[in-house]
Parts: sequence; structure tokens; C-alpha cells
Amino acid sequence: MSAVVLKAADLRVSYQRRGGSFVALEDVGFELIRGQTLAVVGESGSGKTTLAYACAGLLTPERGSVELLGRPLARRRAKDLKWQAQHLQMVFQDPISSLNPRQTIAGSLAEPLLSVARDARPAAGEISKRLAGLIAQVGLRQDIANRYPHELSGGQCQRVAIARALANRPEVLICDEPVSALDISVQAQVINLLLDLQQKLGLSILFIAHDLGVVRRIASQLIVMHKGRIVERGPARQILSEPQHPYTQNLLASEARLDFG
Amino acid sequence: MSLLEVSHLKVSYPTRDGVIDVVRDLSFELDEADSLGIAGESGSGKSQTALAIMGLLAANARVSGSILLDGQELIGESERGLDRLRGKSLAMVFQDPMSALNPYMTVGRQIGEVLELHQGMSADEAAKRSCELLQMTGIDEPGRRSKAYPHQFSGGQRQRILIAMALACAPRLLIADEPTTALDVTVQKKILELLRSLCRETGTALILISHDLAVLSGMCRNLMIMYGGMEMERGPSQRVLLHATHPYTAALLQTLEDLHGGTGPLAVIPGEPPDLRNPPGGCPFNPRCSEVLSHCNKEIPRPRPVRRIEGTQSHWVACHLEPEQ
Repeated sequence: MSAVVLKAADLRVSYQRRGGSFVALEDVGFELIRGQTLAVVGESGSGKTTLAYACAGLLTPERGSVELLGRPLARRRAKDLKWQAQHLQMVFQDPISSLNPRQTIAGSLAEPLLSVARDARPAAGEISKRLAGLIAQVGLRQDIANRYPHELSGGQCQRVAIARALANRPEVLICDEPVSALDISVQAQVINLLLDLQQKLGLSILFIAHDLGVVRRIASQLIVMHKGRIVERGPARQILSEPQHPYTQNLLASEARLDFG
Repeated sequence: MSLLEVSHLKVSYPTRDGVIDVVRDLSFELDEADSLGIAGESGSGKSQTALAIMGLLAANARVSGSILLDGQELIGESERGLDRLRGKSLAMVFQDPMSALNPYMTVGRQIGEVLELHQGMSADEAAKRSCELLQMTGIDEPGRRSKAYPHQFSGGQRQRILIAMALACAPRLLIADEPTTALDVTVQKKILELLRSLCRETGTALILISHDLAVLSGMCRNLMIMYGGMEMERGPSQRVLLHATHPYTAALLQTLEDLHGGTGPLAVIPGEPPDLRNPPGGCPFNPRCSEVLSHCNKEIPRPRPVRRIEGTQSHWVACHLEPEQ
């Protein structure tokens, strides 16, 4: 199998609205290499979340294609969706609203384990062991299993969301601003967790962010988006130290830095 | 005399699980036309402090202590008395500009209302002045735009409108609570510059609240770091950054510096912010502190000066560790 796990080419997405249509993505493509992190950076309205949704199969582009592990994303048959869900998962910005408030953490985590094809499901006796493993994997205490999302902090909920996404050991993880809603000290913990899991599991991550600071640590490759188009792409380190496009330069210059006087 | 003197401020809420203390014995001062940045994570009590000063706490809040503005006690002041102050001597800019504006009223009318109420302007005078204020905050074609409604503006423009409204009467004190958190970084920079230059012009003292130390350090002369409803460290901004004395401040700065350089895992503060329903004994930071001492979970450390500087500008820390000389 090729080293490209997720590939998007020539994507175009537009939204209909009063007085015409709004182009959210135009001529966007990228390749995500196995085990790497590709970050997509841009401001609100740049199309970064639309790109994440198109890659996750949550919306169908008007033009262009998305390939997961060499297979084009298809949305028609339940079988295809199941296959996709097994290989690609998503972590959202707001950790509390991405969990079912009426389900215990154990319930939320068990759901993906039981949603796969029958022969891939763990045996009844094995489920509790798998759950314990998932909880431990994201650095949470086991007693969290019987609690509800509202009893957890934002950081703990995001860890649960990550555990849930990883339940079926997907190759690709799409993270849409996974730490933007968290406090700085908790952001650092979640980033470390993602770095650690990536190393252990060989995950490939598409990381959407507006915050360059976070990207600096996690991304090997970087795409900068502006008004639905890619304005700059390349190795993250290079773009962050020598931005070429005026928009990227402005973005970097606008970042607040500690002022030591 | 300082413009604002907060002493022994306590804010708590009765709940089913008992009384929750959200601000615990907070004292600080702010001079005329000076600036103070309050940094803290969620639950640190920074917004509750702002709301206490504005008299905007929820009806079931219990407040004690003292808040003096120009020598006038604000705690226990009647709604009527507060209405005379708010908009005139005291103003606030909130995080979400859309929900802070009335969606049914043109922005010109909303700004004009403040001027009519506090400065006795006629409707015509107020409309004219509103346009000038919009122009001052960088809204193009203010004459036409003043007749538009909030939803017809971008997020950054809405925040400009709120700043115009807040500074319409050149208040003595402006409190801005995370004014740029909902905005893009390029817009954030412009709004912060606007806020700073307008406060300077009107001689307004500024309290800026943010979770972002980088933003505060560039905007405010003084800095206060809050945690678990208490002050951890306070002093002139650059001094606090260069001589961070509290382990919490030092750890936060390390995380921020790590984000801007280096490789491998980030330095982290282990654990979670305190559960206010069940706060740790002693110093609220002690369960996460890397330099915790045996009595840190028993005694609450009182702020003490690390170094005395003239006036209200001393560097304070609330920690049992002996500072290095």
C-alpha cells in the first residue's frame, strides 16, 4: 500500500445562500502521508472546516475527489460508511457537545466497538477489557467510566472524545481545532497526548487550527488557507520561519508574543 | 488615591452542593489612566471579579468586601446608583459582541442612547456624535453604517462598535473581558491597538481580562495572575514576566515559550484546574504545584511583596516558597 493514506484533489465546495452561492473551497488538494501530521491553518471563513468535513465524508464536494487508503469516499451504501468509519475518525472542537449527555462515558466508548461488522466485534466478555484499555490509553482514571459528560472537565471530555475516535484503531484522525476550547495548561496536555498516541499507533493526523503556536509543535507539513484557497504549503518548520505569501506573513506577524519589555 | 480599590472581595453562590466560592479574598488597586491585565484559566474568578466591579453579578451571588471607585463604595450600591455610573464612569466590553448588541436596534441608535442618557444630548446631537465615534473606531462610511443593524457587520466591526459605545462618555474605567477571544488573530491585533490608543486619548483606565498572557503583556502595565478565585502574583508586567515568582506563573510561561520553539513534548502543568465545588485546602494550586511544601495544603498563602516599588506598583506573590533574593 502506498504511503499516502488520505488524498484530496481539486476539491470545490460551495454553499447556496440568498443572492447567489458562496464558494467555500476552490481547487484544494493535498496528500497526507502515513504517520505524519498535516496541519491546515486559516482564519474563520477560510474553508478549513469545510475541507475537514469533505475529507471525513460529512459533505459531498461538487467537484474533485477524496481517497482514503486508495479508495474513493462513497456515501451511498451503509457498508462503505462502516468501512470509512473504521479507518477514519474525527475529533471536534467542543468536547462537551461531541459526547451524548445522556450516555455514560463507558456507553459512549462502547458504541464504536459494537458498531463494526459482526465478525470484528469484541466478544461480550472482552468489551470491559477493551474499555479499560481505551480509558488508560488517553490517561484517564478508570472511575470515569460510570460518569456522565457534565461531570467531567473540558480537558477530560476531549480525552474521552479522542479515546472514542481511536476505539477501532483508525489509520487517519481528523482533528478540527481540538484544543481551541481548552485552557492553556490543558491544551499542552492534550497536544502531548496526541503526539504520544501518534508515535505509539502510527496515526496519520489532519490537524485543523487557527492557532500557529499549537501547529508549530504538532505538524510536519502545513497548508495555509485563505478565502477557500491554499495560499501556501510545505514543511511546517520552513513556512513558520520563512513565510512566502503575504497572507501567511501577516498571520505570523499578528500573533501575540510575550512582551518582556 | 487610586482610581479603583478592591479589598477583600469575596463572591460566592449558594448551590445544591453547598456554597461555591468563586472569588476568595481578592485585593488590588488601579491608578487613574493605568492598565491592569488579569490572566487566568476558566474558573479562576477573573470574569466574576469584573462583573462584581460592574455590579452585574447574578441575583443569587453573595458579595462581601469593598470596591471603591474614586472613593465611592460600589458594593451595596442601589441599581439606580449603578445605572448612573455604568456607561458614564464605568464601562465594559464583553467577549461576544453579537450577544452584547441589541439585534433590533441600529448601531447608531444604540450608541446614541448612551449619550442621551448620560450627557443629556438631543437625538440629533447624539446621532452626529455616534457617527464621529464610529469613525474614530475605524468604521468606514459611518453616516450610512450607523443606520445598519448588528447582523450586517463582521465580528471585528461589532467589537469596534462596542468599544465606541463603551468609550462614548470617556469613562474613568473600562473593563474588557476577553474582547478578542472570538476574533481571528489579524483582527485581534487591530482591535487591541484600537483599544489601547482610545483609552490613552480619553484617559480611561483599563482592566483587560484574558487567558492569553502574551496579549496582556503587550497591552497592560500591570499584570495579575489568578487561580482558583485568588491572586497568585501581581506586579508590573515586564517584572512579572522576567521574575516570575509563583510556580504557577513560571509554569504557564514555560508552556507558552515551549509553544514557540523547541521539540518533543511540551512542558505541562499536570492535573486539572480545581473543582470549585470541592476546592483543595490551603493554596488552590498546591495539588498541581511542582514545588509544593508540607504546609501548602493547610494554610492559604497571603500575598506578600517580593519587591517594593513606589506607589501601588509593588510585585506581590501569594506563595509559601521563600523568594530567592
